[in-house]
Amino acid sequence: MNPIFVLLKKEFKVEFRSLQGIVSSAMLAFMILMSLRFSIVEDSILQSSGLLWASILLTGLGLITHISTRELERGTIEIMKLSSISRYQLFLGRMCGYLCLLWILSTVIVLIHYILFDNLFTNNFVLAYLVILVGCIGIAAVGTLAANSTTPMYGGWMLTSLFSIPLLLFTVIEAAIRCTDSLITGSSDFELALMLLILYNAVFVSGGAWLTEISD
Amino acid sequence: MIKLHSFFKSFGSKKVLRSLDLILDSGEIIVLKGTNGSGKTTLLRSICTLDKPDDYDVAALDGYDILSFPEEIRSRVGYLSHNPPFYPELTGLENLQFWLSLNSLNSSESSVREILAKVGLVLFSDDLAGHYSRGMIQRLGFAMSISHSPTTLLLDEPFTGLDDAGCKIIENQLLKMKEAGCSILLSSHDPISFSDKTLTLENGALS
Repeated sequence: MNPIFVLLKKEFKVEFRSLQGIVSSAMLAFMILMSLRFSIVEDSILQSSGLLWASILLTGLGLITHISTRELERGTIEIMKLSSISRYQLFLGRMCGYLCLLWILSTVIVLIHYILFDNLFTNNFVLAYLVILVGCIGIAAVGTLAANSTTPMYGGWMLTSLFSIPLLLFTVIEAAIRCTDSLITGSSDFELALMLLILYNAVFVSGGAWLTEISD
Repeated sequence: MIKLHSFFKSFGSKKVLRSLDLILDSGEIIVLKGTNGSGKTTLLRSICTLDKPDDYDVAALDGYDILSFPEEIRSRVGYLSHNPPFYPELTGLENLQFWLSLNSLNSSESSVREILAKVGLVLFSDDLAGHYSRGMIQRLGFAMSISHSPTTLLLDEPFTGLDDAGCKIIENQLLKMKEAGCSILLSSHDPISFSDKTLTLENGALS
């Protein structure tokens, strides 16, 4: 079996038998969206997808940090480090595990957003959902890379988000917001923004794998 | 087979291993002794690539340099940590299957049960590892360290938490592996009757 698939399968089993990460992250997302829904009155903010992406970014990084910290505290990260697979495979395997969990979390967040903010995307809802799934790839890649480097440090649980947010904000998140906003407004930006989003994802995934490989 | 010559490792300003020399032949069992903090764990972790040495003249396992061929080293080493890591949400069988699959080895249920039988865990193979006792975790960790038929075993206090029966099981397995030509380096505070040599780690060097 491919080691990447082995790591993915393990992540699913561990998460779905404990539900520690998904449930707490989904509850945090609900609280974030709920507080924003009742604290923001500006219509232009409520009618854009920024709040949705802010919620996915913050809770998604929280989920990655939680899993990564758990691996370190249990020492199970050493099981992976002692295996004879390449470090880039280890990066991709862990990233794919986080990504799939992030997709599940994002689906829950999209549903919560739909309930609290109505359907902003009208007929483009499915397309917007697909863009969200694509955007999660970049978040998972940067989150995995940051978690690999910062989790062993003191305060690593916070450092992962501190390193990831600046990297993601003006790249993946900006492109993703432009993409989903163009679906709301019907502007012609969509294709360009989607291309940018895919490009950023490719850079972060390949860069993360390369950096992990040379760091060994 | 391990060869270390002039091996150094430090943590910040604390020099843990200083010009350490060690030769461990095939089929040999060496016991490492030393006070707490003397560097036994650091030495074992450095050999299995979990920690990086600062400097050395020779550091080779089966002829492979430990920094130049880390993947080769990992495939040849079985390492048992003082606190063996495991996933409490997975069963003993699944923990071992995960390790074997990750190393692209046969992880079929029957072969995994066979390995668990060697350490006396086959009756508990479908129980969640989170429900295992300390001694059972130690046995599971030992099973993981020998499951990929390593040429070298590095064991950090392998008898911790084990009852007499558990100690006997591990001892028998170690003797079988020694007969098969496996080199075994283990740290222990207790006397080990079946070892070929006992070395003491003091002031960063072996004597």
